[in-house]
Amino acid sequence: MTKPHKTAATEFIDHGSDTYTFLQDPVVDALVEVVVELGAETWITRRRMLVLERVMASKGLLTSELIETYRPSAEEEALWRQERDRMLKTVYAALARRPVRGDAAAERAKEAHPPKRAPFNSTELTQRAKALGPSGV
Amino acid sequence: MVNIDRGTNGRTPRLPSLDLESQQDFVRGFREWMVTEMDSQIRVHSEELAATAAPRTDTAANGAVALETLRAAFDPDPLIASRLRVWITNQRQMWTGLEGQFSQYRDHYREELDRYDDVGPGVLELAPDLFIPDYCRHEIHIQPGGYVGNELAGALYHYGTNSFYMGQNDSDEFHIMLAKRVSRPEDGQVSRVVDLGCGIGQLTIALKEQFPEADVTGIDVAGPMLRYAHKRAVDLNLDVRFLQRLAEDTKLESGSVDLATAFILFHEVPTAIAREICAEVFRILRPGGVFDVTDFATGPMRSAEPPFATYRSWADHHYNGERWREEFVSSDFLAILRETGFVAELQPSKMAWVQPNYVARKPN
Repeated sequence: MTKPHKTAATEFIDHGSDTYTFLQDPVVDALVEVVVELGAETWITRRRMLVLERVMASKGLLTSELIETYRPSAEEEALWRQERDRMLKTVYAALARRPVRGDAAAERAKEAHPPKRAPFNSTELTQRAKALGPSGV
Repeated sequence: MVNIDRGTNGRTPRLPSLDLESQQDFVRGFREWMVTEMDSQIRVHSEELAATAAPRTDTAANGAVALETLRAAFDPDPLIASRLRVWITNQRQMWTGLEGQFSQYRDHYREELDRYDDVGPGVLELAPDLFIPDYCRHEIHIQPGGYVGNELAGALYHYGTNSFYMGQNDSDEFHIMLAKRVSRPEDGQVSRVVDLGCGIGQLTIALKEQFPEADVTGIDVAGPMLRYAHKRAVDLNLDVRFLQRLAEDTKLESGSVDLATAFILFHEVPTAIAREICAEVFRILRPGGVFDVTDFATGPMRSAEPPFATYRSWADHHYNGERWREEFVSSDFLAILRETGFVAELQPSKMAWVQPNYVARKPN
């Protein structure tokens, strides 16, 4: 059995931000997320190409003919497929989530910790500490 | 071990891959577009909506249009709903990108933090048995795991806020400016400084650089943030003490501190705790000591706020994990400081996006 790692992390309250719905239909929300993700993926690729072209040109290695006629190996194809699938997973993740109507997630977080609760006091803190147990690991 | 050393940007290590750097670059660019181009339309649109929706008598106690009225007008509006949608998408994209890659290199970051925990200069004092109150367990800014629940919270916060600041704070520029302009005791004596809610210690470190002869301590409840803070201080060869404690229970000696700071801490705690923190600072400050607080405007100060700013403040609270923001801005923090015993006044903030600067002096 692996020894637990000392992380100083403890329990937290999940805000559920992946389930927010702002628009008329959760699917429209998902489509907006997809569009923004696509923008990021496009810029990531474009920025890498800018770096690549600068580096290769500085070494005298780059011509447009070399790029157009390049034929990837089977290994490269496999790696590129992995990369393609990662991109698909990132861009379209929002469409694969089960939508929740309204801002139920934010409401749930509030219900768990209502704003009008009584101020903390040492007795309450002690009781809650005992209930939760050690929180530092 | 995988090599993820890509050099530095100023005094911050570059992100571990070109793709992540580009992804965060997109996040920054998108955010900048959102708060300039998109918001220029939103401002005009929301003023029109508010004027139509709010009768003159429908005002909150501070003279502004009531939040309920604004919500009734703004919530169903397609342009405003789209603004909220892309804002949260932008936030989530920022965190998802960082967490995805940092998790991939988790072992590397773990080893790095482990290696620094017990070395100096400076000291890291974690408190594994400290009771972590619920109020600070939220995913503030929807950061995955919040400040206490993710072992890589420090790095996530650092690079996430670097994107939030759109590249203007990559070398702690804002914190350094804040430290340079911090209010000081009238006698000029600053030999012990305490930074409350210090997080990853950006202001704490800047204060040590500003007051190199002083004993500088950062206090925070979040162990993962403090571990990262200590690592940064060691890298910068600064002798800073980081303690995992509650700001309302610092366990520091009474009357021992010349200058205490709290940068954007108070809107992250309930008002009852804010009062306790103020009382604790009053206790640990020496007579003539100063408590310098930078945080949002509260209560009466908000009457001149544009309608969309009021709505956005609520949305930040409701959607962005700012669990206590509305409670804080609805309070009168200047009055709380005065009720604690401080001689307190407002000064213009040193930072444009957080107003104002509360300066509280413990009477001699």
